[in-house]
Amino acid sequence: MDIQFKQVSYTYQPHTPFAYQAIRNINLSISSGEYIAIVGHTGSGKSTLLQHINGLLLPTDGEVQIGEYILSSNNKRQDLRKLREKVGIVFQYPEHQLFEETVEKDISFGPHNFGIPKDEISKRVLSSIEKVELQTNFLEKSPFELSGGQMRRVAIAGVLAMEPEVLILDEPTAGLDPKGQIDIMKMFYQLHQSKQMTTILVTHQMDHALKYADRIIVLANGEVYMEGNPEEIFSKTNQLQEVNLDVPEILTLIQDFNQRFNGTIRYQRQSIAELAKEIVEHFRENKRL
Amino acid sequence: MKSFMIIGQFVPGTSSLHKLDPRTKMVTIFSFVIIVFFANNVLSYGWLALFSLALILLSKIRIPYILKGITPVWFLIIFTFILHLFITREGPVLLEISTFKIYEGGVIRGLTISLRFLLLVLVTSLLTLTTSPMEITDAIEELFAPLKKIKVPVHELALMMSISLRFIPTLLEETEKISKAQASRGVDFRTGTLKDRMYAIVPLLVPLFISAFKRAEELAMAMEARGYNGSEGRTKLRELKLTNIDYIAILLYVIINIIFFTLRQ
Amino acid sequence: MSAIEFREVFFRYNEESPFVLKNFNLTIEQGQTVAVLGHNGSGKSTVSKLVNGLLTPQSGEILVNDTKIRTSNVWEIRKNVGMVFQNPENQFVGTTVRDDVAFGLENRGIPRDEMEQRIKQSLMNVGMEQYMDHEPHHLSGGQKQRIAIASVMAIKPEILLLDEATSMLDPKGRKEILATIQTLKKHGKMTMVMITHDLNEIVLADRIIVMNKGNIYLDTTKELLFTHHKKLESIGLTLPFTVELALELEKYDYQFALYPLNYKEFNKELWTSNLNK
Repeated sequence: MDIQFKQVSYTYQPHTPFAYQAIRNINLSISSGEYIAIVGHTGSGKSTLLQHINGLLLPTDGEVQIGEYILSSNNKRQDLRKLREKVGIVFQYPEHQLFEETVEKDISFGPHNFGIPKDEISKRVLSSIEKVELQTNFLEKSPFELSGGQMRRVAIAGVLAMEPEVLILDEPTAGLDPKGQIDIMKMFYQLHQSKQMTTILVTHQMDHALKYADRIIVLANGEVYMEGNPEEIFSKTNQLQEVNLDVPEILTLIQDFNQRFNGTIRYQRQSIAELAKEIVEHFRENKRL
Repeated sequence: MKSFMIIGQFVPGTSSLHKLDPRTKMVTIFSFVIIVFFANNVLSYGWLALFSLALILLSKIRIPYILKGITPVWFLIIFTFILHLFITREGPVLLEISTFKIYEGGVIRGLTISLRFLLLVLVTSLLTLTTSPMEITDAIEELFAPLKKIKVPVHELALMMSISLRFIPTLLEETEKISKAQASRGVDFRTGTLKDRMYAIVPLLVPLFISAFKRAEELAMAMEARGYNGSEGRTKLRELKLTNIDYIAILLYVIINIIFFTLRQ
Repeated sequence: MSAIEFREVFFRYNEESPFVLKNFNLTIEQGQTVAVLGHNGSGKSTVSKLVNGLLTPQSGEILVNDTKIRTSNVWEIRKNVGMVFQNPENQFVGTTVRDDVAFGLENRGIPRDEMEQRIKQSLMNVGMEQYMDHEPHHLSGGQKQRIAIASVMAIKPEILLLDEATSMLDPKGRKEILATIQTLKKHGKMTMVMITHDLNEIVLADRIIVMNKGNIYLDTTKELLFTHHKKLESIGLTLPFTVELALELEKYDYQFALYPLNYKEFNKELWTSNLNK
């Protein structure tokens, strides 16, 4: 499903002393199967923007097109459920949405609401618990006796069980320890690749955006500030600094290395081992000179 | 999702109404609530309406904002009016539509009661519009302080109130977040039969309760770590002090009441 | 005099659950800045709650400034031990910033004039003096945590415990807290214990304690921490990217005198390593 934002603005509590325009004049297009990272610091409008993609918010101005759905302010109340089935959102701290007695029931909740037949649901429950790398004996447990990291995986399984075509991840690693962060980001990347799922990652962790995204959209003060592939975006150090965003350390390191040692290393998503090899090769060649 | 309601919402400002001591405001407004029921003729009602209007002007809050803010109450006011129109049978008949008769007494009764209601809502909402919840809590603690003598835990109750007030925005935000999360998992909170909607609320309430308990637990621990050990030996940062503006306000209020009682029959 | 001392402490949350701390011994000297790391469930958060008397051990002794914590003196001890928790939202008691900082002072019966002064001073120390009348829901997570630090500092404790104080913050909030910790470290002779996974916090510490399964696994310094990389990885802790890169380069006979914690250190080390080659 392609996603398109045309001149979209959204104002919270319009016509009151508390009115606040969270995003303005957003134009965007996201094609099916892309991995997009939306970055920007807190208050830049990231959360508001993503809630437009499954109709949780309707634009105050402009329109959002998701596949065949068109959302705008003068929308008559249409059935948004079909849309929500196709666009799954993993909210920040998704473990807060768990409520059922067992993990199995909680994962079934979404598909059940969308009217999926029972035997299909049990298939999906199994496959999604597997996708989040938990053992099947968790299904019988109460979600509230699990650890924080496990609860988060259960909540994610609940979204995956809807088998969405678009997966929105709102700060999925918030509050996890470094190892938990790495594991969960890898898991999402595998899902993205194996299912050709459109993935929209909202994050303020620039290294995640660099590592996984095909394209980065930088939001600042409710507007699209920059847009492009990670290499392009992170080469504009000054512009990023202006909106308080960091450049991932690996890029700063390469840049500093090139300056210091007259190097020509380029970042192209190489692994750490590959980068080490390039560094070694650089020194070998320079010795020969 | 957010409905437009101003009752209970504080609008920060620097007007003379904002500057009054909350105790002054609470005592006068609660006495006003009683006084309203003593109005019994056009003049006395007019005088109270004038007084309310003056208060609104003094608060420097925009009138359309206030009027729109009490929209849900308008419905009640109109309903009260119509109700009295039909059930009161006094005085000459003004209008007759088949079996329904509208009496002059009904019109007058309807009008006065709706006006009373309107004045009450306007003036009490002015209290919350111009007084921060914290000030209200402080005023309650001060005004009810004598009850400590008969072992009413006034301090603890006031602290509980202020903590609840402090967590209202947090819990509202949380409610919104969870209801959005569940909506995107296919819950529909707005359509379906009453039974459906009751069920739809479970996935919202359970997480909310769990989170509220967790917050309460953590907060209790943080309070303990910061040395909270009941009211004994505690000092207070906030001090309520009556200033000149309060004395002037009280004096004016007394004069207004004297005039009111001479105007009524 | 040691600031904190654990002597053969055993602790578990209830009788059915396993011991979180098993024969735990630790001495922290006055004025030290100590980082405690370890994965979730290693017992690191329990340590801080024991120091503050929020939890009581089943056996063993805990001493603060050489005084054993007992039920009779726990309120006295808490005056000397300030604590900042993980969730910025759930430790903000007051309806405004001013009220929140006042809360701890009110509890200790500080007179009003002095309260005003201390509130102002401690808010200035964390750079939040212009937010005096703000309500918590108008503040960012980082700002709320700075207020939490100010609230604790207003009591003038000798020991400050930060229990994963930055883990729920965005990068901006983290930077703010780090800067605040740095100024506190510069100005005071305070003992600081930071429970954390964040490398940037670790860098601020004089001493690093790694915990695993309820006991001390490593007791080292930031310079030497990553020489134990194998041990760290074996208990599921991650290495910073610069250390991993250095380890890869070691395979090509590069030598690192110190494991670099950021890109500058890395390139500097690389320079010397390359010269010596």
